[in-house]
Amino acid sequence: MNDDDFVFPAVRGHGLPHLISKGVDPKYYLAEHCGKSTGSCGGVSTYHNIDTEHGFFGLAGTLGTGFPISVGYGMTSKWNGKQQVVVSCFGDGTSNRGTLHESFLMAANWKLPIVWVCENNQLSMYVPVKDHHPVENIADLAFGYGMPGEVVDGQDVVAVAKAVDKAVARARAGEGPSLIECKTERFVTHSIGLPDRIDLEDRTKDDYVELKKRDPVVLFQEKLLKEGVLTQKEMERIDQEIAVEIDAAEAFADAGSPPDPSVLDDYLYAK
Amino acid sequence: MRLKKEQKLTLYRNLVRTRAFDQLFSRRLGLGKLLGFWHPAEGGEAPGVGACSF
Repeated sequence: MNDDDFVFPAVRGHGLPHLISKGVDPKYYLAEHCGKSTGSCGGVSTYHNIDTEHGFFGLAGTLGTGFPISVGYGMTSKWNGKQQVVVSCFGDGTSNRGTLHESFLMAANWKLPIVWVCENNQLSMYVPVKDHHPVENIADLAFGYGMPGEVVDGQDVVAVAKAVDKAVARARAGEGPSLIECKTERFVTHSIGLPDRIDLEDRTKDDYVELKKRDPVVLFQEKLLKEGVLTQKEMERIDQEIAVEIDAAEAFADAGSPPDPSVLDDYLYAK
Repeated sequence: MRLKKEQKLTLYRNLVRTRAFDQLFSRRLGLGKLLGFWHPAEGGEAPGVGACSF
């Protein structure tokens, strides 16, 4: 992806994986999520934040609204001649929204430069995908819209990077959208702020132990160590640097103050 | 696409940074230092990192 390409994240981690990887400094997002005026949107958005400088567009009001907005950016990209690409991510649960059909149809029909990335972690909140989707692969939807559809191992970060790179190149060449389904996992409950008080989660602790055998961080770490790309010393250095970054981000967020109520209207209308 | 050593290290660093920040957000929510909800990415970081790192 280029710096001026657009990213619409899926809900898990409220876009943290996407914004960190796109080069956004997460300390501003932390401050935003803490409701501080030093945050990326002045502390008024929590996780509905955006960072236009980096082409990062956070979560809209409801899941599934990212589809048509992505189409809008795809149309802009096509008409402004800058060959920008939109990478639009969504979860397996969001794939059930009607907006998906309208957006897939328009994107395919007009050959818009969009890469749709489904992050299928097998659970839509608490409902297993097999209980709400009639076929095994969400990527199979692609063929009905005349675009390529591919399933990749979503625990293999390299496999994802390669598949998306290919789809981005295709989109940038004017050949239209693609759909990539990443079969991934979720190691913790749906929402930390919404405890599962009525026992909706059907996974047991043992299930989670089993799932964690395919931890994407550990899998890639082991692979890189084996290849000699990463050494124990380098790994420790990276961990230390990130620990320092975390401390600094927390200090930055804690030092900020809440936004003045007078700024609320400033974000409602274009000036 | 053939990944160079630096690109592999970038992917690794982004994965580890994402995991660390994700756990930080979860922790802060429990301490009442984060607004709203937190829908953790733990376990499912690779799609976002793989899609957006290059």
